[in-house]
Amino acid sequence: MVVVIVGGGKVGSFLAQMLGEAGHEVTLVEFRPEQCTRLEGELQDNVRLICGDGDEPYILEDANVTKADAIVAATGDDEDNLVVCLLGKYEYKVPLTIARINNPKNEWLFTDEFGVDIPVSNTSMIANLLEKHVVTKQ
Amino acid sequence: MKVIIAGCGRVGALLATKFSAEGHDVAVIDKDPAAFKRLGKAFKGITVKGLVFDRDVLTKAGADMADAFVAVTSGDNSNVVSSTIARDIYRIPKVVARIFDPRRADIYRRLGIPTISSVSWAVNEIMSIVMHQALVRDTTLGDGEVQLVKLSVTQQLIGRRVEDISMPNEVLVVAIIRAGQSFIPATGATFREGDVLELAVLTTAMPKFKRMIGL
Repeated sequence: MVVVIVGGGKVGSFLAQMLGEAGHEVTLVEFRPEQCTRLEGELQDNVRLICGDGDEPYILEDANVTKADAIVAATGDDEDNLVVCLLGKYEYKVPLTIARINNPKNEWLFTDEFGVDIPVSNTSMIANLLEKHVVTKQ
Repeated sequence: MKVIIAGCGRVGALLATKFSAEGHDVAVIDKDPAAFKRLGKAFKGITVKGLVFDRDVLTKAGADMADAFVAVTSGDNSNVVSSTIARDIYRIPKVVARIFDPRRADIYRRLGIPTISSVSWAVNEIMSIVMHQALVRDTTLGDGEVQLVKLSVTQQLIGRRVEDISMPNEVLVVAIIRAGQSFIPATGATFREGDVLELAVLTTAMPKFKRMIGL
């Protein structure tokens, strides 16, 4: 599978490494120069790293977005993740878009409107688990 | 008209004060309350502190009732996200987003988000000023004694008549191109802003003619 991951923080870089080790063709895009330098040292050869703004069309094209089976928006900024999905889905016709939600308040935006197929919110996930736990205990 | 302006930078603040001065109902949003200082004392609208794509903030700014939404924050992505919400969720009839990145602006325009690309606009304006020549030679006749030239009407020619720049045996106004259509002017016809004149000029009279029209 060809996967583009935008955002090389803990979530993005770990995911890239996991998918790379599993034999997928992974490109990781990271904007912050210091983080990029760090990733250059840390990442294995099976992950391609691009240092640049993943919301810029030419960076996405360089990251092979037109051939991607999936794009993952994993930056720490919700508006950036939304735009990655919007471009990925509607401009580059990527079949699967996955977006990380940082602020639960923004969850209502992570829909088809912005080309998001699967939204992932840590906060909501933990909240749901806790809720289930409470219900089981009762 | 009820107008929401997302982003109180230079463009946002100037728009807000202008709309307000014309009697419109204006709400300005910015995440930095210090930005509202740009609005000055004459501003009569409301200010809302917060993110431009936050539902509570948009509701506070009156997005449910707004007639127009303008996204002019310093972040292209914030502008795209907020203008998409304004159009698709709040159904605000007039939405405009300012996008710096020309390539992204083209894409968003295709996706149906009305977009102003200030970078493309500035580049085109600067190009046209740098490259613009008021007087361009189209062709020469015979052995070059007479030439046909195009003259873009200069500020000082606006309102002047055809005979003001005509000189017997030396300069003749052959045609006026106005709004893309050409015609042969009668005596007394006046030049308007944006006109392009097609002229026949005697080559030896060219320096005199240039001086006369201020070039």
